[in-house]
Amino acid sequence: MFLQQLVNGVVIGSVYALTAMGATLVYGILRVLDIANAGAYVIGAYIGMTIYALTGNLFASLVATLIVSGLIGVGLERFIYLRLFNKSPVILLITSIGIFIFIEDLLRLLNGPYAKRFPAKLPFDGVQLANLSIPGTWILVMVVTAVLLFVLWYILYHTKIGLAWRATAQDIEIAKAMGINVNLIVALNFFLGYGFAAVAGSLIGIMYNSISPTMGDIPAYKMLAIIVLGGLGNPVGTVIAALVIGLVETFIGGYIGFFFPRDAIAFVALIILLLIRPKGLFASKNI
Amino acid sequence: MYLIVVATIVSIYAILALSVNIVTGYTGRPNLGQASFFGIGAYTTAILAGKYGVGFMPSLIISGMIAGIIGLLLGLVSLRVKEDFLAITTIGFNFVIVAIFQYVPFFGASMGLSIPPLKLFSIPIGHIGLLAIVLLLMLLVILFSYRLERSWLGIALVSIRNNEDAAESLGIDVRRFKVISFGISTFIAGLAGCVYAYYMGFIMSYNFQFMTSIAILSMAVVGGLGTIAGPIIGAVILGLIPEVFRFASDYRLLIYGTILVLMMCFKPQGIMGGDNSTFINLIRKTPPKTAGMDK
Amino acid sequence: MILKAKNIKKYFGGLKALNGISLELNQDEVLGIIGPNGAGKSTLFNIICGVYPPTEGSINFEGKDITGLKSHNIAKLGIARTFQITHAFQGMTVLDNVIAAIGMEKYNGLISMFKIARKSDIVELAMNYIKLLNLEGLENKKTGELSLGKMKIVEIARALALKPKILMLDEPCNGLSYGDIDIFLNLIFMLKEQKISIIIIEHNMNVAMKACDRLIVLNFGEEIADGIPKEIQNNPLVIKTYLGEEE
Repeated sequence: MFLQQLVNGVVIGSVYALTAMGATLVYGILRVLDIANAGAYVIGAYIGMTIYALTGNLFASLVATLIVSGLIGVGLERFIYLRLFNKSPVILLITSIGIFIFIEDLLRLLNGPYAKRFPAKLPFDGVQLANLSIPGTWILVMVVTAVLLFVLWYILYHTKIGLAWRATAQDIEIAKAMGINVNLIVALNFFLGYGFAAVAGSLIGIMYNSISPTMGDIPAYKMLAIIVLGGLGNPVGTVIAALVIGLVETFIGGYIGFFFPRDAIAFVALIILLLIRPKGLFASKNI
Repeated sequence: MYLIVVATIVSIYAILALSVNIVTGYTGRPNLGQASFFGIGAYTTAILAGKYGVGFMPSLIISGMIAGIIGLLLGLVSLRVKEDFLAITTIGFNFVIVAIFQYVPFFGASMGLSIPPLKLFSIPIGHIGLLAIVLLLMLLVILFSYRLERSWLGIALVSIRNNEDAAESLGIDVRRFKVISFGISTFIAGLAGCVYAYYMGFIMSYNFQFMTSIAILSMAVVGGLGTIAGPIIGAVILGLIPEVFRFASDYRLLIYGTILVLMMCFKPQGIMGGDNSTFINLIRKTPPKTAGMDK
Repeated sequence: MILKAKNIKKYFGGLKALNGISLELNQDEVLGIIGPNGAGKSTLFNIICGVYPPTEGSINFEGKDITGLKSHNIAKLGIARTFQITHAFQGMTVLDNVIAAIGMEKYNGLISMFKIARKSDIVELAMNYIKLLNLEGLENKKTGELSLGKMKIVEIARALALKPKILMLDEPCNGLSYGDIDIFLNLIFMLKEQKISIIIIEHNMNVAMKACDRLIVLNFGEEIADGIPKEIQNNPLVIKTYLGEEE
């Protein structure tokens, strides 16, 4: 039972990690809290479902949704965020919320307000180990997440562009002065950030066999809590925080679900944390 | 009749927008959870008037005070966290408060709470009467804001917004004023909550969720932070969208989102913001250093 | 002796910013603190003005121990300061900047904080300072729209409006044109006549020599010389410190 919950928690946490990664990457570069990133989550689910309905190929759907949503992210960055780069955080936050509202409502208009199914057939079955029952969808989620996060980690810490990326995140002006193509970095940042969120949305859609235009509402804000817990802009911290929250929600939610909603747990954790350690869980000396 | 109902809710929004203007406009600190205090005021009234039969005036005052006191606490918390964290903290606070309203039976849980019709000195007040009361309240808040702008307190807050360290060097106890600004702002939101409770007759937790906070803040921002006319105009414009676009009611949110984005892109200081550069061109005073992406 | 700092040490984690600095300021004196970048000059200012407390050491103002007091309280006791990078309220008019300082006593009273600020007597008082610093005509301009030199002067006007006993200026001539620097020097001489004691951090040697009665030289958090400008100018240790740093 415990093991079952544990794996469940890890699965949930993995999706959170993927979803939150976009927000943390955007913050790392632009110092902006991007709620619109959760829009990619919803868009991703719909694109994934559509491509799957067209091709029947799961792999293709995931790849397609990553690319398309990633490009949408780059578009948003170019046309909207670029203008607002140095403005007050309140302005940016409201803008990103405006974009998010627009996206969700647009999807509602295009697809109808009701939940749709995402009946993906997995190329493998679930696993049964003694008392532990791991559905195929869980395996899919963990594998995809691991792959994507690994790719990200590899890029960030083992490639030249990753180095340039980290330099830009440290100080965008100095990076420019050093000749780094900051525009490319920012575009890549948004591409992957939005792409990952999109894949996360598809994965959730597959896991619960349901997608709806408002599925991004809770994740949008929960991701903010997670990235703060993980240290704004810190990808490793974000993954850890996401897993922790996933686990805490699964375990505690199971026991006190009647008395306190799971979704508020992340925020309670956040508030408590900020009271004890105003700088966040993994904040480096820089903050 | 319909006009009266609309006018009442828009006026309530105006009061809320003016209230958030005190913390985010004058003092310059992001507050994305004002709906929490709106809700605290409303639920206080619902409990006092609905469960214990307390009259209007006492309910009004107590609702404001409780919202204000809790706001002071949030203000104290806000001292500990840096600006980026403050936004998320207020969001988190909003979620927690709504969760409390949703799940704790005393607050009606998912059934909500009902409020008896408004009576002043045992005389039932109808819709027109309520509108009159709300307008009066709005007028008082406007006068208060007006006075605030011109008072030493107002100057202290604006100084803090411009440059905290400099304000401190002028003898302004920055921490104290940050807390005070929260208290005043949330007190007013609590008052709005009270009249809202009477207006609705029935309240539920989702009336005060995060999106409502955003609605309130965006009214102030779109109208023009740091001004008095701004929040009012913002409330009128954004508050009327649901009504004005009745014919296109299906596209309301789309329009709302579009307005937000367009306004922020092209006139972030708001309609009444003039050339007020303090908010918009806030090249952050100290670039917030992140946890860093280097290990 | 109006201000006395004794053996001030300040460590930021492992970094020794100040390693035992002592200084004395006498009534009506203009004291200059000079030294290369990173010597700890602004840190010393911040400690005296209450931005953060010293790790060790004490500060005495008019016989009272003010070590560790918060900056708003130190301001009320009579020490005003300007900042290295100008901290004038850029979103406010010049007039409002000065008025903000005049209100120092008014901010804390429960009743007084709600009183109208821009009453005619207050405005008149503010205009006096504005005129004193040759800013007349600019009072209704938004400070952020002025030149850097003018902004720094606004900051000084604001500091003066606090009616301080000690005025502490952090690199006031940083980025000023030669014309503005002359204006500034005249200002210092004028302030001396007004019985205000002044401490200046300055990088500009010319200004330091001309404006100050006495100089203290810091390097790497330590005091390496203390004396009148002529002595300092000829001090071999000081010259060595500044080799390559001369403006």
